[in-house]
Amino acid sequence: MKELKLFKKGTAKTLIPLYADAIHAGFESPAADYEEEKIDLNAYVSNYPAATFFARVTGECMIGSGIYPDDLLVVDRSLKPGPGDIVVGIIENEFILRAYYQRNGKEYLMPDNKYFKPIERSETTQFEIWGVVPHSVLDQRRRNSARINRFEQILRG
Amino acid sequence: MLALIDSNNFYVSAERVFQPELRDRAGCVLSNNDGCAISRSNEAKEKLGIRMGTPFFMMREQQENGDLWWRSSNYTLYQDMMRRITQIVRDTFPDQEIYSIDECFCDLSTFKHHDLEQVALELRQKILQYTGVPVCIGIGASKTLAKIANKIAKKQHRTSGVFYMNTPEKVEQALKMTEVDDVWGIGPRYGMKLIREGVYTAFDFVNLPEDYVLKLMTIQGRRTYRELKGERCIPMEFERPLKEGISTARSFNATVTELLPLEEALSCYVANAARKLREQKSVCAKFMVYAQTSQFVVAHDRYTKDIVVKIPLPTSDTGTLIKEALKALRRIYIRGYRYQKVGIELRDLRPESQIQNSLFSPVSAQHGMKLQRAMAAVDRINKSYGRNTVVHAAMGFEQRWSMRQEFLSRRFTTRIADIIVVNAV
Repeated sequence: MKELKLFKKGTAKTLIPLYADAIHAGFESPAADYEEEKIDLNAYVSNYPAATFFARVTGECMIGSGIYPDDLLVVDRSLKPGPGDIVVGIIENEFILRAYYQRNGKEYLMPDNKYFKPIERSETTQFEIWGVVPHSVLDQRRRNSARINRFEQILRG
Repeated sequence: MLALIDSNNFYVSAERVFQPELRDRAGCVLSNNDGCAISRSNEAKEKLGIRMGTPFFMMREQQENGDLWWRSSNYTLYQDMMRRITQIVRDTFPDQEIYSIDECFCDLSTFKHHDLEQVALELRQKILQYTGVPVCIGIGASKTLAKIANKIAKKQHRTSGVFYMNTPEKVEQALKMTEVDDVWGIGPRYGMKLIREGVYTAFDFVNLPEDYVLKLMTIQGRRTYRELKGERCIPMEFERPLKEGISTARSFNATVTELLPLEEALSCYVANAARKLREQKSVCAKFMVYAQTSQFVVAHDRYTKDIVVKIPLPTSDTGTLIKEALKALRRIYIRGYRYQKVGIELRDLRPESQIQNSLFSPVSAQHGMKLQRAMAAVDRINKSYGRNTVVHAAMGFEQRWSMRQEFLSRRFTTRIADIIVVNAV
């Protein structure tokens, strides 16, 4: 172990130690044994990274589920779609965002916004499920102005 | 047993995952500079007769009729999809050798008590669900047999995508169906020779006496012969051996006469090669730089020249290599020719560790370490923010000479600005 002493500038004869305790270079932190891995957001949002993709939202039919235009979606293809899951589907070669639902033996892609209509699987309407959306990311600061409008209404009474 | 897992029309399949409008339609992916077809959908092969290497301009009619879609090769996308497939395979079969961008061998020796066909069927289904890419799996006693099994899976078992050669009858049947020049390791030259000898199928081939094969085709041929008999002669390569040389070169989108764009292009290729060099923790002690015109111009317009340079202190530093490469280029450049291609090949690769210990003098060792740290930082930045985020100025900024990729799809899986857009309307 090396000692390092710091001295205040002065004449050669009257050096006064400024900081007498040794600084132990390379002394292990007492917390070193308690170190854990960093929090990994990827691991939190994805069940299986090799099957996880990202997508961007356009449109408002899932607002009831808190998904707004331009939000980022985590799409995990390793998950089997269950009733109520938000899914990325394909209809007529377009990616489409809805929730998957089954009822009385029928399959639906449901919007979560009363201004949109459910899509029922039928002879004429075929759809395929591309992946399940377990998480979505909303850029909260982008919604500040909408929030401020609401605050203003409340504060103005 | 060994398995060969091979993605079907890999580039085409990868494009289709993110562009559903390309599915069920004839289409192809083009080579560098959009020259010719290098991956074709089944529809393009079967209905339009587009072959491997069909030049792009020969497809004009189908393009105009709207019968065909086409894309430039999007290697960033393919590399990422390959990484995903490899990961999924490894979770089922841990002993894996990545053979090419769309093929890997797996050693199944540890799966003694499993129904291999069932495991393979489930794996294939899993890869399809997780990535959207269809694969075929062939299982046989050797690499060469696994290759044959894979081809049969592709041709005859399209729906299941799996062929397991687990009985002598299946092997015999498979060998009878395989033309001799289609066998991995035989190739067209020996193929011709064998056909002249009346050996038409792989089955005919394994029924030849071994001495005869050895005399006709040397030791390589005998290896293939024994592999076909179920003996494992080609070992699994779990760790890829270090590359012996790294080369990058591409043709320009149009011919280049000035020195500056040649220098920019060469600098870019050097940067790319140096990055690969650092990735495998090597340094190089030598390189070759070359410049050439098209081979299809009249003789007095034709020029090809290369130059080999020895580097006193082996390095993987992009700056140093660019500097040396440009010096070399200036020595072979002659004004007046219309250049079509420049390139670099890094040679005499050695492990990085060897250098630090012995060759540097203390002063240059310190400098070398500094450069190494700087390049490591550049690599990290370029990895997370996209290639060419940090570049050497010599690489230029406009890069008007760069590869023609007019029909490039987006980098759906590696760039946040390029991810798919989903309609909630």
